Amino acid sequence: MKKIMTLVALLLLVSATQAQTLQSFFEKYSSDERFEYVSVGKGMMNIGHAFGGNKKDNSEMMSKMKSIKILTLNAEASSALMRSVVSELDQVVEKGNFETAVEARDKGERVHIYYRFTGKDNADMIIVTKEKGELSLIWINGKMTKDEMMHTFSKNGKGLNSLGIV
Amino acid sequence: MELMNELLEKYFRGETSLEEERALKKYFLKGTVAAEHEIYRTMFEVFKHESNETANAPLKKVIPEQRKIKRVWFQTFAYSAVAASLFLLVWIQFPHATDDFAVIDGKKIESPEYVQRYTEIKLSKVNNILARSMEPMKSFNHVRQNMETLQNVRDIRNKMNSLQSKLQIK
Repeated sequence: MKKIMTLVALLLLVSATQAQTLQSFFEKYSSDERFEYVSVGKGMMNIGHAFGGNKKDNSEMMSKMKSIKILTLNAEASSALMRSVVSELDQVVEKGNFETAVEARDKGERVHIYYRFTGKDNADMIIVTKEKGELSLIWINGKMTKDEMMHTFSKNGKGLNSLGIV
Repeated sequence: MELMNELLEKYFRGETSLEEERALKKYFLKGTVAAEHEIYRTMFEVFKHESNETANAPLKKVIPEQRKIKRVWFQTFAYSAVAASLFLLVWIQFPHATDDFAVIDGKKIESPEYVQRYTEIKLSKVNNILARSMEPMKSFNHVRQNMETLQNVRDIRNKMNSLQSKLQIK
């Protein structure tokens, strides 16, 4: 019994540490004047159409999301700040056991999507968009399965799964 | 003798003074006791014996501790109640912190419309990049679907060949 309790405590500690790393990254830069930071709570359900897809799917999806946090840095790609932030983000992704879902590039714009599961159906998704002079991080946290997460971004009802990516 | 009878009567009525009680004790424990008063001697001897007794050590400890526990419990309960009341007061009095806000150039903007618009723009941008970059994948899927049709034609041809060969045998 004691062993089980210790294991449970360790698991909780590990999951808390993982969340803390991403959390602390956002907390660190959210108060930095060089960054733009936006926090969306569970109450704001009107942004579903931004994901594309039909209204029913969007409302279902939004009900499963707990929060969305957006951090934007406007700086030259070669600047020390941008390089430092990108390096720190890479560490967060690596240490936080994130898996890569998508890496896409279009005319100098890049999108990286990472995801992880920290409990039963509790998912974190980080969307990193890099373009000339701008880096945006979108952290979506919600109670989603892998399939639901992969259908988050869809165009005309076609999710990432249907494109054969995951 | 008369005096002792009076004192005893007063004693059992509970009207004796401390001085009178002392006189009674002295009479029964030290003096010569009349035969008619002999029955009360044992009672006064017991009183004397009990007055010499001291309480056992654990009893002395238990009584104050019980009171202490009760006091501590009551204090904890009272402090918790006060803390809960203060928390509720603060909770009701001050506006609840909202999760929807933006921090632009170090300034906090608590406008749901602004937050919504900002988020929409960002998410739409991601959606557009994904849609554009995934276009070749759509084309690939389209080609694959067309190839499936060709596969069906090939299957039909194979079946026809098979039938033809069977007919030739017959």
